[in-house]
Amino acid sequence: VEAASAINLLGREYRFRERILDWIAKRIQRASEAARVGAEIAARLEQELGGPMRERALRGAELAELADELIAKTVPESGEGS
Amino acid sequence: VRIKALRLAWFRGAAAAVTLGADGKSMGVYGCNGAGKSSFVDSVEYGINGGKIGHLISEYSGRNQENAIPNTHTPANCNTEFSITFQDDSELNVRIARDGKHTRTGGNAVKIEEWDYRRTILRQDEVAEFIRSRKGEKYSALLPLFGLHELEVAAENLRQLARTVEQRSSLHQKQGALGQTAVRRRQFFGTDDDAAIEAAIAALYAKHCPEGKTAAALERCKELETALASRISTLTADNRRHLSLRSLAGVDFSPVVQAVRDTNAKLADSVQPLVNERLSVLESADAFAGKLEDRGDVQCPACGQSVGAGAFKAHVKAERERLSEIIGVFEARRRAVSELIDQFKSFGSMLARPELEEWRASAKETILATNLNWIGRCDAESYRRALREEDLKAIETHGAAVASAAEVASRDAPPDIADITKDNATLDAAKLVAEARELVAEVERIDALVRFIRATEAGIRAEIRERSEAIIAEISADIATMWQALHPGEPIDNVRLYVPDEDKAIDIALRFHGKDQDSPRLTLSEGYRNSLGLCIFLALAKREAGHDRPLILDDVVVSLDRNHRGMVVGLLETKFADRQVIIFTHDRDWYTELRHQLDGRRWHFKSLLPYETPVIGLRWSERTTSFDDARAHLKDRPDSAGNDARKIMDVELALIAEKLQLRLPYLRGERNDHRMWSEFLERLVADGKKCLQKKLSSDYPVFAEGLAALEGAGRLLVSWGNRGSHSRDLEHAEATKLIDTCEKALNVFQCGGCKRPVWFADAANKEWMQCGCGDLRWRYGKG
Repeated sequence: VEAASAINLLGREYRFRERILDWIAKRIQRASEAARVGAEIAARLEQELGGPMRERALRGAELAELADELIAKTVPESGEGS
Repeated sequence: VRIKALRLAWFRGAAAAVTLGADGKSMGVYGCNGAGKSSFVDSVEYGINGGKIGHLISEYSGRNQENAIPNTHTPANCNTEFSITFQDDSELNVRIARDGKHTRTGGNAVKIEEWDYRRTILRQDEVAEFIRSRKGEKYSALLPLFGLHELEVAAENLRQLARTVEQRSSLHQKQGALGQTAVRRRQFFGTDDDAAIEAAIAALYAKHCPEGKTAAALERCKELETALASRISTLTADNRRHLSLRSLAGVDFSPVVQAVRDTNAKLADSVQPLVNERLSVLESADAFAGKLEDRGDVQCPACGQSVGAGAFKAHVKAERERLSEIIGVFEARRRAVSELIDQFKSFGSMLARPELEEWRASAKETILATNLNWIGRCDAESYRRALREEDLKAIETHGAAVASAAEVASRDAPPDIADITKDNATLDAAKLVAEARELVAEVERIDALVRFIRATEAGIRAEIRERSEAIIAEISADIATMWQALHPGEPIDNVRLYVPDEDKAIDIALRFHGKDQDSPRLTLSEGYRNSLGLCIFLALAKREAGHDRPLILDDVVVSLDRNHRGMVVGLLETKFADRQVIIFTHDRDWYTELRHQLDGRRWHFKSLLPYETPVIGLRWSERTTSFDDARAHLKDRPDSAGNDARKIMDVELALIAEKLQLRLPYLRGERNDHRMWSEFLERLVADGKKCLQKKLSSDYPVFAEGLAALEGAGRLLVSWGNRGSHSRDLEHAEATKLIDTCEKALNVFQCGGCKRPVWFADAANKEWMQCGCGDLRWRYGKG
């Protein structure tokens, strides 16, 4: 909130308020998206670690399936950019 | 949970049913080598490990150990089976079929399969093996006992998952592709940053798409492609020819060919199968190295060199790293070849454009004919399989000749054609950079995922380490106490487990004559190492105190000297008085010590007869003494039988003298330990004339009959015992009489009524010690 207020003031001073606010909104959206993906992956791993992953060595096919699932969660849709 | 009885039938050495009856008490079991003691231990291990016996695992024992577990002479109508009766009278019955598969019934309340093998059974070879093992193996052995096995499994799964994510997402290939784009970017834009490249795109966009509203760079590039293509389509045939010729003239094969040459220099065409083959060998070598001892030399299965076993693991690691580098170079070569093929195909397409038909026809009339024909015939895709130096030279020669001719032919092109050519080239390079941004994002995200999984693994490993250290600190205190009990006042102390800096390792540290040592292997003798292993096992077993499960020790004092064996007895009495301990030993002297020193109210003693044939199997001796060992030699070697009887008397009489607190002349140093039967017997008879009494009505006269038995044994030992040991001409009848007489002499100290020894009760009275019923007495101070 403090950062947003500071940038808000800065924006008024330099008359770029709209662009800066837009930039902040995108950053927040991207950060929350990253947080959401991170939380999803963490939850998925936690679920595995609470069960099969601590009980026995996973087989190659199981590892591949889990890896694909995590990659799918991680990699953004095409065109989303960095 | 205590064991009441173990019953074996046609299991290992056992033939017809034989039962070890412990009745919930501790037991000392004696049997000479091969008598079959371990068959009982094997049955408990079989129960715990669900049908496997560790020391029988081999390529010969069969899938279900069916070649090793049943008695080799099991009759067709008999079953291999065993049962374990527990103190609550529940009974586990196991029947093993001919194919080694087994069925279990009963014993559900006890659940023996949940016992920890390593906290229950300790065998001599396992002690030595544990101390000798590498720190990684100690880690694997101890972690389940610390209750941390699940965490280790989770950490290992995460390690594998991170590798799988890298493989499945082609992370390394994508990182390689980004590297390639970076090279192209440097070639075209030099050190220009993203903003400068975006500005270049913006300038092109303003020039060729003045009405455009797109802001994203990549989208602008796509629109620009369409716009430029549309503009080119409006050009006159002449100008289109000029444009194509300029495009051809702009192709420079040199940097791409050079990239292939650079990688070729490092990598021969035949290296790929070699890499694959050696990688597979190295995988096996890596697994092999994990189990390797640090001693001796080993021939590396990957490179064939003879290396020290200790250095082998480092060698395998170095080989893997070296191969990884080769694989990296191979990948770079593959990309360079691919780029060259793409460039060559693009060159061929440009050359085949219809607007160049006239130029091609005229060129074919000149010296260029050879070059054009070669390019026309060339199958660029075949270069993916093999690309030799002569191919590279041909591409350079023919390509450069055509590009050069195109350059000459396009010199009179109008200025705007040069402009379009330049814009096209800028657009191609800029589009590549814009496209790479998406890949950068993808690579960054996958890399973040891999790092996250690795961080989770590191977190779990930190947790394992923290918990291990806490448990180790606790166990180390017990190990130190037990070590002190076995080795009081000795200059080896501060014995403890510790976690070295690297992951997945546990080792044993100690202080040797004031100097800290990181491993017992540096300074300790075999006997001390085994003693240390025993302390660690007992410390681990002590943590099981809440379960009150039995401790089974199979020949664990073999390498300890007499003093330290004696200390083990003391340790068991003080630290494990409340636990059921079952000791198997082939050490006759130690067994005799156990019988004399351990509390007869809590301990049973039994001895096995020497093994004869698989059909006869295991047999108990009717005696608790070990004279049956001597009798076993009567038939073939009576002199040995007589000699054994004399040796038994050496030990038995020494212990009786100690129990009766006999006063013997002082001897310096070790000579005290080397006294013979004669010294003890002489003093026992002399003192016995005043001290050894047997109740008669209400009186305690001297036990004359007993003294006569002792004197009789003494006389025979002088004449025949020595002959047995020295001249070896003892006859069967003589040896038999000698053994019987010696046994009878020792029985003098055991009450015929209550079966207790004369030193059974001595706490209540300072004047005498006596048996359980008071019929037999030894009066102090009368000697």
